[in-house]
Amino acid sequence: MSKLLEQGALRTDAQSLRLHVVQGVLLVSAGYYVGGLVGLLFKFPPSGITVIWPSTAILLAALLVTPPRHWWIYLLAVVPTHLHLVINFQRPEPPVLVAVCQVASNAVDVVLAALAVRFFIGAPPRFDSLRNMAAFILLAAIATTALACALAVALFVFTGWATDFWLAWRQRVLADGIAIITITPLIVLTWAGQLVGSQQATRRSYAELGLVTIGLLAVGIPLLGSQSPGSGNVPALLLAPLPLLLWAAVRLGPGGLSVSLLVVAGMALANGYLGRGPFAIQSSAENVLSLQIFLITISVPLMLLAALVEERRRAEESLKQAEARMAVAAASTDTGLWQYEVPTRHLWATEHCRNMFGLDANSLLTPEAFLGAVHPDDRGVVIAAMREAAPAEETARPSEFRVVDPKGQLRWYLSSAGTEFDKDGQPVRVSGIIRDITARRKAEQEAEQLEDALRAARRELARVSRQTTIGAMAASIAHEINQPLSALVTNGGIGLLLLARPNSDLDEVRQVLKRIVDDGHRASHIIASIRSMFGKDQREKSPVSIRDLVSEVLALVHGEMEGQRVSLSVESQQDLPRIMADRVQLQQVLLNLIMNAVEAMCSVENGERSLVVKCELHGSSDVAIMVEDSGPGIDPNDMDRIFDAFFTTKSHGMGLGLSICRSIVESHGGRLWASNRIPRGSVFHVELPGGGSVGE
Amino acid sequence: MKTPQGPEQPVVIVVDDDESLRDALGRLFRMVGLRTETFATAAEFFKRKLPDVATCLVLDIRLPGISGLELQVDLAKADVKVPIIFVTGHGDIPMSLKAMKAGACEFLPKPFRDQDMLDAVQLALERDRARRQAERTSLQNCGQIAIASGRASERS
Repeated sequence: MSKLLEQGALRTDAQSLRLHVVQGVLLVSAGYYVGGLVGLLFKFPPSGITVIWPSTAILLAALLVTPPRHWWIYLLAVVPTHLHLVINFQRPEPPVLVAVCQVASNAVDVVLAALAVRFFIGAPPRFDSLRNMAAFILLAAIATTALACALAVALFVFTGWATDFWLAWRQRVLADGIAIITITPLIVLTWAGQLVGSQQATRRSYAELGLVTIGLLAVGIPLLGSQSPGSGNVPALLLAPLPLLLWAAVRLGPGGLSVSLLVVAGMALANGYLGRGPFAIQSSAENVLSLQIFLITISVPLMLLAALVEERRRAEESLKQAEARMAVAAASTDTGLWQYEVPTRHLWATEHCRNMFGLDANSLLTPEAFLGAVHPDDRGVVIAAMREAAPAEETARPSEFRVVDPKGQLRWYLSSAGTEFDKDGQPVRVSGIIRDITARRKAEQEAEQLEDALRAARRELARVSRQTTIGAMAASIAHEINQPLSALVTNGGIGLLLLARPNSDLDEVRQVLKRIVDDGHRASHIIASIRSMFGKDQREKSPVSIRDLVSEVLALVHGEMEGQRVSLSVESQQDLPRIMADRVQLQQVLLNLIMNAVEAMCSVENGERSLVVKCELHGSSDVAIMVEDSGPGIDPNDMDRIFDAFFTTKSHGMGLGLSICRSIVESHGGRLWASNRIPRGSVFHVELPGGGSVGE
Repeated sequence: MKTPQGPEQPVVIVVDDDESLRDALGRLFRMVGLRTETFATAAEFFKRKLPDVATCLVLDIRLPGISGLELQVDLAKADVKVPIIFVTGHGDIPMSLKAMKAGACEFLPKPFRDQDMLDAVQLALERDRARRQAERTSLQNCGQIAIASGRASERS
């Protein structure tokens, strides 16, 4: 016993297990005994044929709800019960050998049936699907019973207890089969607490079962019990309980139906026993057969129907649960679900979906009702999406729109829908989800604003720093040059004053003139030193890759160009030679030319803004860089002056950029010039000598 | 040069780090009969006590060390109300605005015409002279009041 316990998945107290088994054995024995009494006593006189044999069905039920290791206890327990039954109540009294054959055949029957059911359906079996019920009827009620009864009857014939094998076999199979079909599921379901259906048994269901039973009794007692029924109204009498049985099958499941069937069988049996009712018209044997056939014909299809209904109910239940789960999941992610049946124009939507549009449970769900909640400016978008959804293929097409929610707040929704089509390509059903993307939209908008602000700030910074650099440089140059110039002017004025006097002191005039000459030289020196700032050999020169240079500078101005919506293309020849140059100075030249181009293009509203930077090989070793813009171009009158210092066409700027650029390029031994582009725009050409010659 | 010499002769003080301009300005002012003192830096200027005559200051905004603007502020703090003419090498508008707000008489961008400079100096000296006159009168009044009150107290 302890070994068994260890093996068992459920660790039950040994004593309570023993108690369970004892209780079970007592119950089964009692059931077996009562069932046997019914089978043996309620016969149609004068024949001794058993109409229904419940004992086998009760034993089978016991095996189906108990573990196989306990089966032997139940099987052994019913042996004395059976022997006591047949010896006391079966007339004529069978010899002991026959009685042992009977109980052995019953045991074989139930063990085979229980094994088959365990194997094909499971233990304890569930009768809530058509497949399970059909398998149960075929295996337990028909196949194993037929086999076991064949064995038993063969032995009866062998011992001389029975003479007609087929007759005895048929009677036995029918009596056992009817009992197994109606009683076994009832016991198994009652044991599982599912007498009135697999869902939670309610008082209402039990009340319904009571009503059906009362109804059956009310219909059955007068009909079945009528003293002398004419053979003409027999079909009507037999059909009378059918509506109630159907009710039980549809509403109360296999368990409820079993109870109802047993009520009908009990009444028929009782009336037949008393020699009344529709089963008392013919000879006794024929009456038994017709009652058995009647019970089989109503119970098999009705049991199957009950199982089918149960299956449907279960499917519906799980569908409902799935739907509820889905709705909860959808609502928790702020998603609304809807479905539109095109032919019926029926619109379904989850509660959350309705709430999203401010539609309460009572309001009529129509596409128009939903559309009414959409922001007027976005209705066009939604209508277009709805129109588009019908004819197109079944892909989700997201559309975004705004809705004023019940609290009066503007919310952004994202709607995706898919359409199902029938064989003719007609739309049948449109299903969609609506998601609240307000938070995302808000974040996106904020990010966009931030990005814009950042870009503007960067642009401003670039502009200011460029201006301040050039401005500071220009101011410093101006200051340096103005210093000797003011001395020069002042001295010139003094000279004039001196000369205007009578008897002017020539020595003094000479001194002043000398100072003027000195100041002039000083100014010239300052200018020379400024030039030398951009002059050659002032800085280290190194081999520079023009392609790298271009991409470095473009990386610097990328943000600016993006901000001004300038499209950029770079056409660079492969294998350009490196040139000896001051990288930083060339960067400044390129930066200046590109920024000039961008500014020129941005001075024109609505114009095309495309910047092209080309790098080419000129001759054998010279490298040319062309910066082309689509701006207004250069006035031909200005073409010669744009490289002059302090010449500018801009409202701001010093007019030094291009002149400094030209100085830098020339200090590299190169050339910088400009031309106009056809049909519009300008090109700035930088040509730099390569091949080690660094110019000048 | 027939210029009035004496204690009442007004003084022009030039502070500019450019030697050539400084000398030229000194020469110019002397030619019109003004006493001139020249300094290369603000620090040098501070070593000299201000003369007790009508005075004006010609100040370069950019100076090594203490700048012209800082010098202006220091003078204002010391309650020295000498009129200032600023000169600068580049037309820096915010700087000139600041200088004018702080009470500068004139602002001349370099290079300036010598007549403009002389006009500006003349105007500044005129103003300083008037200011000194007013101060002196009020001082005298104070003195007379003081004397009068003294006499009054003697009598009593």
